[in-house]
Amino acid sequence: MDPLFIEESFRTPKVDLNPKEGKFVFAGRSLPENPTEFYGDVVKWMEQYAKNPIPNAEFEFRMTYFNTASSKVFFTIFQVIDKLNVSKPGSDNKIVIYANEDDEDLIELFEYYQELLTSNCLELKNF
Amino acid sequence: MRFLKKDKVEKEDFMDLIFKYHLSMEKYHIHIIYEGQIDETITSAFISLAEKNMNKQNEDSKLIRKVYHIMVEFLQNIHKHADNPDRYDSLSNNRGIFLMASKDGGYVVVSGNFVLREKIPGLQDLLMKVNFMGAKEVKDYYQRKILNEGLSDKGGAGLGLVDIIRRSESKLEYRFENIDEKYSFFILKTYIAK
Repeated sequence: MDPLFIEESFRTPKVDLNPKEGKFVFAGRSLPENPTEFYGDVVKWMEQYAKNPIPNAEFEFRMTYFNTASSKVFFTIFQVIDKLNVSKPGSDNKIVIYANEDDEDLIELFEYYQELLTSNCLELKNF
Repeated sequence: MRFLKKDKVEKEDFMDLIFKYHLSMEKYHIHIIYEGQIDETITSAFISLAEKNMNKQNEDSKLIRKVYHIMVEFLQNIHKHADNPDRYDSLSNNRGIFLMASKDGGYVVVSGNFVLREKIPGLQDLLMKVNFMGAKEVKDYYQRKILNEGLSDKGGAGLGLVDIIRRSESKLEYRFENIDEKYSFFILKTYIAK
């Protein structure tokens, strides 16, 4: 599958999804008020990818800032990955969320996400 | 500032005004105050400013991060939900006033924007509901929104407001000042304690 690369802008993150290199990164800020415009293609790409995924991939979220609208879209992306783990027993795809260790608000949001996902795919790492 | 123009204020008066304004800024420890159109460019400028402060890596970085997130939700609320009285031209769409100040070791964020008076009851209900939420209700509300809205542009001001009380851990204060029979001025305030 063709990789998806979107350059970082002030209001939107770098998106680097490259199955050949086994690299899946979201990095930067995410501030769109209407997420469909920016994330529509990303979600479509993820759904296509899910039909023929590489085993045990790691998706990195290195976000310095994201707004509430983006927090909803991210969950849609997490769900695609979560489903991969659920549908194929033994598979171990990971979503790594980077946070500053004193960022209680992001850690709390991480816990909200974790409760909603079936597999144990979410991981928290220090920025 | 149209009303001043009408009164044919002399240049000196504007100088007085600026000086008084400056003294108020100092008195109330105001870091940012802005009135006008709130769009993506303005929001981005404030974000750059807040990030510069955040990168100073002081002991307050945790607090400043909270202020930064709350500021963005305030600004995006105005951008998305402010109503525009007919007497303003299209250049003044999404008009609002926005303030960030230090107070008692923490920060105050206040915004003001026009809303149609017919929207007040709904907005009051929402604000009351949000203010009565405890940690459990905040989590439930968040999770419901995350699950049901996903990649959609729908959704009102609810999640933004819930996110503000989640981060500030204080109740939202608000007031509606009547402007005319159609519009009110909606003032929203939060305090982020150290």
